[in-house]
Amino acid sequence: MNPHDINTPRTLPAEAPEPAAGNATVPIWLMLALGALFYWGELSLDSGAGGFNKLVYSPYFSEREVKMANPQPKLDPLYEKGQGTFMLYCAACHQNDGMGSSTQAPPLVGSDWVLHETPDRIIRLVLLGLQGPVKVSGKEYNFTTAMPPWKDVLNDEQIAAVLTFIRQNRDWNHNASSVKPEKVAEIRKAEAGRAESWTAEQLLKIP
Amino acid sequence: MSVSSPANLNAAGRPGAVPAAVASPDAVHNALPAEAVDKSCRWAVWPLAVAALGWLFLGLLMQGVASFRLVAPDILSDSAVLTYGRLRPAAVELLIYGFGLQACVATAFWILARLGRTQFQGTAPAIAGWVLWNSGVAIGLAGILAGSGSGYEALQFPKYAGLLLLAGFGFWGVAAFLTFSARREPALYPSQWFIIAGFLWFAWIYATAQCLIFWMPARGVMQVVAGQWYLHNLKFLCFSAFGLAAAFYFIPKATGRPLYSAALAKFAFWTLAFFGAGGGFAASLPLPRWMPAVSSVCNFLLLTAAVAVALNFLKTVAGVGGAVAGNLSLRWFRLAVSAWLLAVLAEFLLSRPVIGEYFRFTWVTTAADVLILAGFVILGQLGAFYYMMPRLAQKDWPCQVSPKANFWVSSAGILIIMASYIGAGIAQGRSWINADTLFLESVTASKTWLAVSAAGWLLFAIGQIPMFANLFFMARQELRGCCCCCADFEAGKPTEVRS
Amino acid sequence: MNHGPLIFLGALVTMAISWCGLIFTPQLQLGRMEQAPMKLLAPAYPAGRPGIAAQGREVYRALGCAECHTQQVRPSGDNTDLERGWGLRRTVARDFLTDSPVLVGRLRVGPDLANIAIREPKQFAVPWQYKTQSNHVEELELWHYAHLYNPRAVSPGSIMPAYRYLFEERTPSPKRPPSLDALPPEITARLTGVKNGAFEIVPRREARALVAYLMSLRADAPLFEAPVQITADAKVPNAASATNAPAANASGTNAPATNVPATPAPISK
Repeated sequence: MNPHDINTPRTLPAEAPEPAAGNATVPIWLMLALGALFYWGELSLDSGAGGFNKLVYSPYFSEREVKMANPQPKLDPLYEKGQGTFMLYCAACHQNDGMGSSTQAPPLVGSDWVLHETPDRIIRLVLLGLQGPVKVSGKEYNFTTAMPPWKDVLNDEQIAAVLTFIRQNRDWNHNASSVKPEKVAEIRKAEAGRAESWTAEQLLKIP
Repeated sequence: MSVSSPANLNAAGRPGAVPAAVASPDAVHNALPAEAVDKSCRWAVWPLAVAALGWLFLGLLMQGVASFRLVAPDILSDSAVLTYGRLRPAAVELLIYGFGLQACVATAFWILARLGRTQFQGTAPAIAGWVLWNSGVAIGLAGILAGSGSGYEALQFPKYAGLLLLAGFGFWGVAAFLTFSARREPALYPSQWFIIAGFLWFAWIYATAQCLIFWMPARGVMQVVAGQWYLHNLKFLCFSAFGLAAAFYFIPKATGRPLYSAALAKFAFWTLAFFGAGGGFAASLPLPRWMPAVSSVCNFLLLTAAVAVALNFLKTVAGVGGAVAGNLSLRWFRLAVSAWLLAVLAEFLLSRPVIGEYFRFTWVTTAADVLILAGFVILGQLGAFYYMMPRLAQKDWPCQVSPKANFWVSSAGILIIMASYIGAGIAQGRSWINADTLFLESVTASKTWLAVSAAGWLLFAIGQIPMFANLFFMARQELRGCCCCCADFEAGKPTEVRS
Repeated sequence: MNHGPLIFLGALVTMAISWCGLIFTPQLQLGRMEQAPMKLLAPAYPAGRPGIAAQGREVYRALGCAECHTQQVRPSGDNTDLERGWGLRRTVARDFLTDSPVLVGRLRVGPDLANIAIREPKQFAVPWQYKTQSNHVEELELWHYAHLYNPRAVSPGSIMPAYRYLFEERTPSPKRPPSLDALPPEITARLTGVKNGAFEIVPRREARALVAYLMSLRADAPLFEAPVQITADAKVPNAASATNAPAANASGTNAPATNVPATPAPISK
């Protein structure tokens, strides 16, 4: 038939029957390759997936790296000193880990008193002690023994150091402002006339 | 028509072990002959195919105009409708939804009916789906050009259009299910696995994307997650499934031999199902690193699926004689499958840290998209249409030169487009890797390449004209046939029985 | 593989795994993310964009700007985004928390825009310089208007389309006195060559909104997941220049200052 005739209908060419699928097997090297790639894939995810953590973005590989890359605040020089003072004088009641004890002292970790914006209350507290019930971070505490005054035992620098320590302790996730010895001196002078220890109610009146 | 059945020949074309599936196709329990199957598919498949071709032409033209506007931005700059930022998304949506999925479904319908040796069931839902789908595409196109494009690649249609598309696809799924259930050949051929999966996967991913971006918008970057997941799965699950289904059907059909291995096809199916669904997240996206890591691993593992597919087809066509090798269907699919294999490789390379970040945001990523969308989907479906449409019409193409012209011009167009995008991308990459070079130098370096790409798109569009000419001639033959019948009837002459 | 339902089930299982792993899990991780509390000027980052900037985001979307521009800054080591001064740090999920739609883009036919509001003029695609010492906010806004009206006038060689339809071009007459919102005469002269004030270019509402949006684009607040690192060769946007949350300031928005932490620690690997 004329190949350029577009007017006469053409018959269809013969066609093969519907295709069938042969029974050759999957070559063993392909299965091995799949296995090898699977293994590689697992290794790759182990090292490169950041632990499937939603906060790990490249170029960091783990949350620890991200934490390290974040700016670490400079430790106040009084911090180390304060740690020593704490262990010596405060840990007996407030414990080494700052969690307090049910019979002697409330916890310092996460305490709203410790982390208050200004350290004025806790400076007074340390100078003159505390008696009676106190509410710390929502929990009521009422100890038989009161907190003793420390104004005759610790000087300004020591008090500033220990308060800086408890306010900036990284292990407790505290990140409040440091306390200056001058501030302690100022408050010591202001409260020079007072002899009795504080109650929580009185301290709470101080901003 | 009697044809020597290749079923009794093994892959080397010699009498030997009978393939695992059906021994003699026509001995299947009351199998419907091919002509009857084709006749039953007409009303379901023709509208989809013709509409798809129409959108293809329009989409390619719009992409050509958009590419031209990219390099000559001062011409026609007073119209908001013609800005690149609206034309290009509209064109891509037409290529994906107007042509891509519609053509895939048309081919899938026909393959399901043929492989089931049964009449096509569900013509009514197929037509209902056609109406809804094409309305959605038309409305969506108008929406994008009017400024309601969503901004998400491949999801640009406004939400009302998306709903129409989803509803239309639902109807098509019903038709496919009905035809599949009515099959008379119980054994399943690989094409059918891929088609079942393709229908399920598209419905799921499209519904998810529509939900999380339009109807119940997810917070912040989750929208990007949904969009990227959808885009990757569209290419490497849905289009891959439908396209491979067509390849698995047409390549053995064209050579007259059985597919080399059902087991390899099974291997390809499951590796595609698992690993094709894991990718999509580039390392540059603002996402935690585990997501690009998972994508990278999945893209690597997807290579095994590519190897399985390549091996299967290479062995199927091995040693095929000259006349068969020149068969046009084989030509279309050889190119389409090669494009798919390259696209899988490209996706893998682009997810590697060094290569990926060198080419990230360059035109090379667009080239990879063109590879799978145009090289695999468009060429593959056109190849399927060239085989399928004459059989639906029960007559061969009137002009025998046009299919070849279509093939060569389209292939040339795609090659030019890909080469120019790769060239532009390399020029950008070389410019950016040095932090001291000005950004504008990368624009200048890539401009000529982009101009060439515009020519490539226009060439690709022109390459479809032979197909329309052929369709026109075929329609004219059909009408003349009807007219002859009517004229004879009125004149009282005995009317010829039309074959 | 001869049972349709089994294949369907298998395909469903694999898709379900993908959906659970890559849609559901990210939704649990990212979809309910909250703003990060900051000890800076604004209490939470990111704050939502002010009204006109949110409208500008819609204009950005409708014009298809995301086809050519990205808003993603890559970390150091992945190409040269940071070295080019396109940001102080990489962009992360939280930066896009208050945006909808999130238009991060995928192609850089034009430069990245994630930090365009704080980018130094010498880091633009075509570098330029501020003319005044103090009026940087207004200068940057005018640059954006000029760029939208005719990109090639301020950026020779650019292929960005000219968005002239975002502007109203008018000749002042006794019936229509000169508009207060018109671009200054020297800029009009540069864009159109018309010097004598016989022609003025007035940005329409869409142009204003778009420029407000562009002036709100910054992603430099230090976050836990993306601390700001200053290396020796990074081009740091000059914090002293007054491009800190420009007009947006008046509406009381975010604008965490571009302050850099006092002692950035090096990355230890």
